[in-house]
Amino acid sequence: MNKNILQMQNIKKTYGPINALSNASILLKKGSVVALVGANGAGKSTLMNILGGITTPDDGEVLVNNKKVNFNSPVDAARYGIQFVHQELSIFKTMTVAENIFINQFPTQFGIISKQVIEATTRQLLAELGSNLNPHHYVESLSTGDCQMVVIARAMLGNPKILILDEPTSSLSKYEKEKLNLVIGRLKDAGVAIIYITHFISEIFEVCDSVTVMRNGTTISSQAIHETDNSKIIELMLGDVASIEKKRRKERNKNIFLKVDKLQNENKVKEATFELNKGEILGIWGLLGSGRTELVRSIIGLDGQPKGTILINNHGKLTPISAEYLSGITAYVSEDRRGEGVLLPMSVLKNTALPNLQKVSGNFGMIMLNKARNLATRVIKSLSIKVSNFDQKVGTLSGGNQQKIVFGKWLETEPYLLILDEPTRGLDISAKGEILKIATDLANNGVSILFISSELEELMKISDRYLILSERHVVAELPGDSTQDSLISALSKTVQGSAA
Amino acid sequence: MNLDFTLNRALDFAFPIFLVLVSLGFALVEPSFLSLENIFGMLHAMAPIAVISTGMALIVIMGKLDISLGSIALVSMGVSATLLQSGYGFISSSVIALLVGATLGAVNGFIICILKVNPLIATLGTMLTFRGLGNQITDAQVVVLPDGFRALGNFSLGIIYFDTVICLVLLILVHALHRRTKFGKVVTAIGNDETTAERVGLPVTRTIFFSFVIAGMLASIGGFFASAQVGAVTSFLGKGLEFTAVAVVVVGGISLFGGRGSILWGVILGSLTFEVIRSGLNYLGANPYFYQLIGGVVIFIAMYAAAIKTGYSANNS
Repeated sequence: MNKNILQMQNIKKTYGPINALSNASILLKKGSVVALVGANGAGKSTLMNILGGITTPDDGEVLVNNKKVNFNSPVDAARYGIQFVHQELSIFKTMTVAENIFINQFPTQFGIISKQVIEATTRQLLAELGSNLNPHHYVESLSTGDCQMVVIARAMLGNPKILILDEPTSSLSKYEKEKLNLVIGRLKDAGVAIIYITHFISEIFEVCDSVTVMRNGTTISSQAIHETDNSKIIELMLGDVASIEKKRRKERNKNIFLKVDKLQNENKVKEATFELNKGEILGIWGLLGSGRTELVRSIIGLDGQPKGTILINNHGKLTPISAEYLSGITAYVSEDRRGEGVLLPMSVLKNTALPNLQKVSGNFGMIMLNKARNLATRVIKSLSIKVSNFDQKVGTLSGGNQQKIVFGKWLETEPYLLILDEPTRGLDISAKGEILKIATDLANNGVSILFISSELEELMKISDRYLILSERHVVAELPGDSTQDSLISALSKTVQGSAA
Repeated sequence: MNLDFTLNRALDFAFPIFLVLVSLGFALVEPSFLSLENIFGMLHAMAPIAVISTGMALIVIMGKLDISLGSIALVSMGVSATLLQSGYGFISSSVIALLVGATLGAVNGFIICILKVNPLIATLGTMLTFRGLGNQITDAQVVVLPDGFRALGNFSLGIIYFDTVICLVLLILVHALHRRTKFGKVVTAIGNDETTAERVGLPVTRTIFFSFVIAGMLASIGGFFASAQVGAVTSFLGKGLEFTAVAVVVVGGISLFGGRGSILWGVILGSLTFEVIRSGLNYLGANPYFYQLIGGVVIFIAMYAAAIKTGYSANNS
């Protein structure tokens, strides 16, 4: 039980100028479950990709059973008994449970697969996991939890010594989570060591023996689970914010721009009520999975029709409006820059023209190239974007400049509301600073901003007020001069509350 | 979910029911339509398209298309006929025809797997190129095959034709390849999601390549049957057959989105549907262009039914 099965020591990895891992170490004992937690971009995925053989480290050692190993592919890693269950489940919907489990290792006799053999083995395997799924059911008819069971069973077929579960509960129901916990218990008893990556802190107390916290590419703490608690973990994750210099100090008079009243959107947002003033930056503070993105998307109607009321200041009178209407006067900088923010293979010119087609059109709805060029030039100049010319493809720009294109194209639509969802993710420090500066300038010019960030430091720098989100509820509101402690405790209180 | 499920099952049975009703309809007007002789005659007549559709089915289950199959049939039979004329034997020229089919399939596979061209575009290109090549070889003339050929093409034991039997054997073999081998499972997995298949570490490229090779070989066998039935290779051989094959596959319930369908039942159902309509209208002495019109309507209905089906399954996921 006390045998070390895995040691990763002083792992370093850089991607271009960005330090993904600066000094990460993790220790895993046979039959134990280690939680790996950390904010977005802390380096959990990179560390696990190294263990899974998906990428190679620049420096540092990986020891399996006290022997140094080098993996160049997931197949290499599997040879040492390491199986990775990714958050995005690799399943084939039109195939059966048994086929999905055996997909890369069908046993054959004279080239022919025996249905009886694979279904019998599947039944046995699933029974060991405590599942009674029918081996010849099609996977498309299963729930997400059962699909996950299939993927775990596939991993078990490789006889793993170490199993990596990446965000295994992110889309499971409460009942399915309990089932998964039972499976983890059984695997532990069978001597499998598990690395459990999650954003839901309350979960780790249910299944994990110890917890390793990462921040900024470093593993900053590894403790037995009974030596720590919720708030300690959250504090470690978020870190100490040295001294915060507020970007904006001056008090503004209250002038409501937007009021959201009891907004409800299926299970994405629950009864959210808040107000946003003109020219105010409202920081939305919550852990990943608390419903931050879902809240802002629901307000502008991106995820179906929400229930509840949205009111806007219309010459001093609050008037109800539809989510679509709000969407029309809103600029939304998505957290998924490469997927939703820009069109990578298209030019700067086309990217900036896209939300402004009306503006660059002439007679008969024809797009006027000179207008589009002027617009692109204006965007490039006003945000000092580094491009060689406006025909350059956006995919060839750096992350910071891509993000500025996103800002620039939206600002040309002259929005009243700006939604920034993790706008600085993956950017280097100077680009981060520039993005925050653009945001504050806009607020000073009267644009109201909803600001989401996992980085407490930048959130505190810029926010005039905070909304605290937990488990899809708006649970509290804090003034702009709140301290780091009060913000963290607001969060850990709610986490504890939900765990109880 | 239950209602969707019922609807899905209903759609699964829609074409078999349609086939039975249409057959009965023709039989009401002309009772000999459902005589054993005519039924086996139809099975004989549909053998070429059924064989070509078998290869198409494999490609479609992979979520891809190969519209060069008709042209491959022309080239391989063109080569074979020319060789026969210059004194080659039956066996050697037929084996060479098969090899030509495999080679042209490999050309498709190369363009798609190595040059990474979209399969529809790639085989649209080779459809035109191969047809040009075939006409080059035969000089776009009718090449008459030796008498033995025609005899073989229409050889029957009692009422069961030789090509019907071979066609059925090939169908069962390819069906087993799809259902019972690793290769077939990878084909289905690719049809589900190529990226996921790659992530899981399946031999995606190799499987796509060899599927096109197999489809090419089946196309040359289909071409062999078609020209043996009439005893000649004409420049029209296989023209438009690739599109009929796509229609056969879709009517047979094999989804164009990949991953779904049974090759054996799908190809039999699809080929028979079109053959019954063709033969029945022929029986009634209808204008041949009317058959094209009806065929078009059937294809449209099949596509629409497939769209409804996938729409429902997409919502369920």
